[in-house]
Amino acid sequence: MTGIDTRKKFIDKELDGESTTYNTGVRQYDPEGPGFASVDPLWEEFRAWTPYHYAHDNPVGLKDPSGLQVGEKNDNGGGGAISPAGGSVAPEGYWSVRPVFRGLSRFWRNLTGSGSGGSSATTASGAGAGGNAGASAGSRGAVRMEPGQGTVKRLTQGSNRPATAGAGKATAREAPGFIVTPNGKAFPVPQGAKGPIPTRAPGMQFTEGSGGNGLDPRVSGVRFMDANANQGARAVYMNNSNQRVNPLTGQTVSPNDPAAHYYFFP
Amino acid sequence: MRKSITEVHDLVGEEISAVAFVRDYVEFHFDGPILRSESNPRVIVQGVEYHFPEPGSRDALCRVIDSTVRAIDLEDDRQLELTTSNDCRVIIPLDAASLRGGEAMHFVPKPGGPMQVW
Repeated sequence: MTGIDTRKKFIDKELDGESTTYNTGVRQYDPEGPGFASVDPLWEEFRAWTPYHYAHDNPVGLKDPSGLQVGEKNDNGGGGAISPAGGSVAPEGYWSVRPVFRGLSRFWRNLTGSGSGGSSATTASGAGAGGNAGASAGSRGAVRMEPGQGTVKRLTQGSNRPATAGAGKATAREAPGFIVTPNGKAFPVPQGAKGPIPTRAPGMQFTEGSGGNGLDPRVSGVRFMDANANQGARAVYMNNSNQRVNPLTGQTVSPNDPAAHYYFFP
Repeated sequence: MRKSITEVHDLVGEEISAVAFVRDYVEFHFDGPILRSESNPRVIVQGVEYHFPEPGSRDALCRVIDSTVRAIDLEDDRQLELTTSNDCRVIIPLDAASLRGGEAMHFVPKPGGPMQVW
């Protein structure tokens, strides 16, 4: 369609010539800014992200055509937020089910073996699926699972460049602020938590922390469990007695409660 | 001075200080360490077997309070059997068919610290 100005440009939205933003229906997308020009109405469901972020900071691979949430994969088929198993980011939120991921043990080895898992020198609190760190206030870094590549990258605030392994003299005993799955879901780790530590069944845990990052203060730990015959790969939040809790309320929950575990994949 | 407890077998000789019914699962407390049964446990008291959460099972499970663990038999992927000083036997199923979620049992050597998951 060369030579024709279709007016519709980025993600098939029309550019407002006066404000130089794109109207997505719910919000204005600012191509010169960090993403959207206003707060995501669904920000509570995406606490790990800055409320202004666009498409989990992965505009190459994902679309957010409504301004509400990531709704579809880009036509070009690219994108680092697509899981190795082929699952896409869940449109209804970032915590839902797909029992296929089996990369935790490898991720744990990378995290402890490379020495890149700590975050003593990082300052980011959010994490981007496409390699960006969020810009919200916070104090700790995010670690991204990349089992397909066999590396773990630490992300730093204000930079799109992952930190190099071992940077910041971090140790595996200092937990990152977030763990980010291959499909871009970010799971907050309680502040002050230590880890990762193996859980006997395939998985890893961070313990001895307390709240922070939107977690109830009674949340002291989180464990990331590999998929087994009965359940998909999941995050489980715990209190000081290592009982399962709802991470937002701190209340103990039954193993069958929807808040008892947060799946990596839909 | 109390011995170091890091593995589930270290509970032999320890006193069961409490049995806690949390939501829909059961915990056995050892004045610190916790053994949590996420699958439904069975308890055998004087030859009668009770299945949690059926009627009578809670009273039967509470019979082990104040007793001491005499033996622990752990068969991964099958069950953990705990025999107490008052001849009660508590069985926590670990097999896949008995799972209610993805996990059957937790051992917490020190609450708040790292735990082990079956």
